[in-house]
Amino acid sequence: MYFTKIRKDYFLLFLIILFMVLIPLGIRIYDQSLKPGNLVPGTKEFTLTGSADKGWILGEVKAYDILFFFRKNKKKTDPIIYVSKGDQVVLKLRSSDVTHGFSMKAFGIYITKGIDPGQTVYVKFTADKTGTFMFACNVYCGDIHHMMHGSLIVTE
Amino acid sequence: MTRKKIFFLLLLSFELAIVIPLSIALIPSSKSIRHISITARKFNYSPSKVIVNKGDTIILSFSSNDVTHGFYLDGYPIELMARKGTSFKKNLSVQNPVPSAGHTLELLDTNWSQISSVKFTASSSGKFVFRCTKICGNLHPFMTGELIVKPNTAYHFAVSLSVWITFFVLFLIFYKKEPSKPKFKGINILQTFPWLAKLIKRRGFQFAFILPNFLIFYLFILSSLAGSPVGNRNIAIVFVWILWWFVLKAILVPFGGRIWCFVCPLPAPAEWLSRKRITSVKFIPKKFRGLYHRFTGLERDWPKKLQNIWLQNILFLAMISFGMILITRPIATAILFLVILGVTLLLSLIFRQRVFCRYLCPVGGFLGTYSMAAMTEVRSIDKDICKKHKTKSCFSGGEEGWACPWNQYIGNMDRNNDCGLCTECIKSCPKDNIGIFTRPFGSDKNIKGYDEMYNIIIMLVVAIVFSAVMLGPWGFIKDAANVTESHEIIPFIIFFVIVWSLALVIFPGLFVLFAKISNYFAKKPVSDRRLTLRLSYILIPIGMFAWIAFSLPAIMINYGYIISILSDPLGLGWDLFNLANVHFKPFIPDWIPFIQGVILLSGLYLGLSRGNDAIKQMIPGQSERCRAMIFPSLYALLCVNILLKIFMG
Repeated sequence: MYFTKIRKDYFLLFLIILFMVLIPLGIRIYDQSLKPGNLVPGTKEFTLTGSADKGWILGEVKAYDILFFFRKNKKKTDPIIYVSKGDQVVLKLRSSDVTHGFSMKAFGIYITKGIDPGQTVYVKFTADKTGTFMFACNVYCGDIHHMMHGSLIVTE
Repeated sequence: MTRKKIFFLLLLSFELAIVIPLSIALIPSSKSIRHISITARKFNYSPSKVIVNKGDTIILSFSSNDVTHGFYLDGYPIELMARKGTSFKKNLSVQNPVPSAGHTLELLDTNWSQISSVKFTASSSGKFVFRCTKICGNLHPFMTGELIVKPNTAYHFAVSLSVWITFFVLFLIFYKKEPSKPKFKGINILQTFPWLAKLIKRRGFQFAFILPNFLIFYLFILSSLAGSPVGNRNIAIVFVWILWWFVLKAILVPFGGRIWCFVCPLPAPAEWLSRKRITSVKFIPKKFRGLYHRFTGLERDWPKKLQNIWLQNILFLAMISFGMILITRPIATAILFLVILGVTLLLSLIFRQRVFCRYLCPVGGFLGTYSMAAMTEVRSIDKDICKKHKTKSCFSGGEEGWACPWNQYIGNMDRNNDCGLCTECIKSCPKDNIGIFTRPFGSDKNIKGYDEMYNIIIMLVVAIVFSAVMLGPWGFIKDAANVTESHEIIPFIIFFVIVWSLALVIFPGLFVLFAKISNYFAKKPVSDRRLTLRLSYILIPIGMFAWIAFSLPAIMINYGYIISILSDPLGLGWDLFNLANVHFKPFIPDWIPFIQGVILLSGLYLGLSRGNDAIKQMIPGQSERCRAMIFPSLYALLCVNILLKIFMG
């Protein structure tokens, strides 16, 4: 009697730990492979997150990153994206605080609708010419808006 | 006085309370054309309060000083958006444009058109809030301004009715014959539903509720650490501080008292560690320091000097001082949860039973005092059986159930404050002498110490402060409270000092003074201390309803966030139910001030009438009791009117 109860407790503990492992794992698997609208094979996908303090950031900004935003030096580094000529490029545009915009003159891309926090705006184009091309934010987003740049380098 | 005369007087006063605001509404006012230009900046509008007359034509221009801001006017079909240099108006004829599928080049959205100003007529009177619709930073949900179209008849009604309710209750106390009616007989839910009793007696009952809740909170912690940094796109913020807070204040506490403590997942790991069990009971045949159990660690008992809720009061005030940061930054919520988890685990190694929940949990204090008014209670059915039962399994533990983790002896427990509704006593009682009873609102009257009185007053003050900071149009207060972003240290210190002195000195001081006068009026039937404590009961329903009125708009306005966050729980750009990009559309927002007014007035009535019940035994004479109630009623009236001014005026 006593031992069966204890065994039940161990089973429940195992269940709790199992769930605690499965939840993040499930999230990861869903996010990376099952989610609809995921990367089409043969395209190069980059995530660009806009931040009013840091400009463009390559990759997602997580909630805990905010803690380190204070500590890092104010100098921002512009992201550089490398692709080869002929690549199908998909830019996943996100925002970590306010509404941002996106423009890349060389490829005729102007997102004027705005990139609102929580939304994802996809930009798809073919890198059909070589060189270094600037992209910027085209919706006023704060003090460093005019310096919110990044570059796309297309090589042969 | 005869019945007829009393009835006549009440009718007359009620008519007076109706006629005065109506006559103010009938004063003719001149109609004019008003040019109003509103500038938005993070996180307020300037001017933030616009006052016009009914019938005025308003020509409104809207611009932004920094980032993209929105302008949604409650009750009027106007939605604007401003970027630096340009402003746009939403074309309401184009309803829900088809969102373009991913992976395409998105150009200008067609449902916004550029404008310089909009023209509309202020056709309905009252208070209308305008709010930001474009996420513009941390405090975006609290970026509001007010359009007041005079005459604000609803507000005038509320004020005059609040005065009338106070008068009405005092009048009833004085004149109404109080029948010695039989005590309300509560229904024992366990007797009515035997299947429920059977279910509750199963060892896994509580765990079955904690487990899903534990996993949900685990997800919240994960999300508040690694999810979206934007508060209203993070499930932890949206579900905890919008949904949970409202459900806790408006449903769980008034109906179930401490029922949240029954399902709370945060102290659960500590309890499992302390018991070395999850659902089963570890019973030892020989008592160890009063209990038939051994726990992990040092097994100390909480020091006697700290066996009150002062620490909870202070911790709650400390938490609330950073409330604006806590409820807008996911990372702050993560830190709060992790600290609570850590502290409970640590304390479980030093003390036995739920000391954190009783003496430290910041929300535990008001859960205790407010659950005095709750409509259910766990009590013993027959006190004599408890007296005769020598083992007292409910208190010291039995083979079927743990000793009361809240250290209560249900045989003489007469109030809900420290009952965590964990249902252990129902399991451990060998005589089946414990039931869950229903009861009328506001049944426990016994406030035992100044710590509890302070808790009640702190809760009321914090409700007022939060209403002013979060729902009010004053940007400078928001900036002061939002210190980590605005970096305005001195305004924050002023804000901090004001909040603490209001909560610890001014409001309690005034109340104690009024209660003293009250005792003098009633010809000193009891000591000042006893009457003061009892009278503070008035503020429990008022505070509870003030919190409901405060947290209801958050749901009505932001329910869209709740829906969209379900589709994208971690802010990773998912769309599980195709609802991730639900458009911001508040639910009947122009009715909010009216609804808040009704809630506050019902709180005022319940507070005064239950307060009268609370001092009935101390002051049996009706005329003395009426006189004793005058000053506390004025205090309650003052508090309610401060809130009415913020919500409706």
